[in-house]
Amino acid sequence: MKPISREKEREIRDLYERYASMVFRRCKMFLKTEDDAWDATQEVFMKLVRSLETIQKKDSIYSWLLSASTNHCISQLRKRKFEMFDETFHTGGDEKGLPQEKQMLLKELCTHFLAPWDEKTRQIIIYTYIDGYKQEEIARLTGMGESTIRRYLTRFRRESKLSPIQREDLV
Amino acid sequence: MNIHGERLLLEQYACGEFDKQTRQQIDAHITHCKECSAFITQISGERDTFLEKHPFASFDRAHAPVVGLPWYKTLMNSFMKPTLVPVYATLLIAVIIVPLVLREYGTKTSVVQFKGKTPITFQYQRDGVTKDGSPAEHYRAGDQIQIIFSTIEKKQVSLLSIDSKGTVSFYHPDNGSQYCSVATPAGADQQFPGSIVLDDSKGYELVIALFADKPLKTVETEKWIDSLYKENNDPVKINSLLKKSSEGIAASVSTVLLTKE
Repeated sequence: MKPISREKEREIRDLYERYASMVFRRCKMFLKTEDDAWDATQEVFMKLVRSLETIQKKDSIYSWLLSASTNHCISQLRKRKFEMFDETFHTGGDEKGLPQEKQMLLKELCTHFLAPWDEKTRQIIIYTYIDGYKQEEIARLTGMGESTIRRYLTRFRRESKLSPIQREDLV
Repeated sequence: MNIHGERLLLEQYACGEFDKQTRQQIDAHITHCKECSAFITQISGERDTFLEKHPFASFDRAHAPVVGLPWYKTLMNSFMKPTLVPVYATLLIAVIIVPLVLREYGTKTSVVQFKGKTPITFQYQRDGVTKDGSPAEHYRAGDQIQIIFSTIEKKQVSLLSIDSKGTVSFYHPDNGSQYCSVATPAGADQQFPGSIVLDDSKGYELVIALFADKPLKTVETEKWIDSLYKENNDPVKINSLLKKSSEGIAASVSTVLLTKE
């Protein structure tokens, strides 16, 4: 592995101490087990370390990590077999966080409905329906306009093959 | 700015984000808002618990080992930054490309054009028949000229010709190199391989053989013939001046003045 300088090491430590718990919480919300969440946290942080040069100073590290951890977890979930995923979800009942119906929705979204959609749409859907962020907040996180976000949501609702009950949940 | 209950905003604040002014606004809000203050405390508590369980050292195994770099690697890294690419590109152009371009074009003027890579010898061939050449004879387009020469000791020789239009042709194996001469052993009837085919320009073609003790530099030789043509503008005139004007360029000079029909 390529060695890194002490200055960079200090920078990574600072970022880790500020943001790692947030990334871990996020990963745990998706992946349920602490071990998986810790592995994912480290992988997301590795991505951050590799991308530090390209992230501009004005960019929010929080937004970047939120997006990276969301994408990473969705990709992890899609790699798993549905049964395994299902089991993980149902044994995670003692975890704090999402209520059961939202957990089910998250499972459905990640394994099925979000699969054909692009990364931006997936993020917006998760931020909206799982995190419960307002459109104004999503706009700040993604750097898009609120009207653009509304357009993404409308398109998703219209074109995704959700059951009427699920659609009702989302509308 | 609405702060109260803005979970995302407060989380970002807890992570140390935002500029000074925004942070002051949030500070002011949480000092009197118990709910938001509790949220910040909760996040900070979660972070402390996480860091206790997963300190930075435990993350170390996943990323590159920290080592003190030797001074030369530190120096090298400081020169290997993407932002310096345009500087390196400019230096590359300045150091390599510009001298090449100058060598190719810079020493040439619009008056004299240099052409030719074909070595010539000291005879002529017409319609498949090789004959001894004579300056008194008239030559035609298509005649192949071969120039034979002899030296009493090892020399460097350069062959070139200049026509009435001022077109100069160098005939040496590697036109474009730093030197425009080739080494030739001592003895009679030396000749360059190959021949030159005369073009259809009318007037004179002055063939010049320069003999020198050291390799002749292309740039200097081109400058010399260029200035000679600029001053005299006529192969016949140049022919009469060559011996004197070649001093400093070559040890001796031989010429053949061909008349073209």
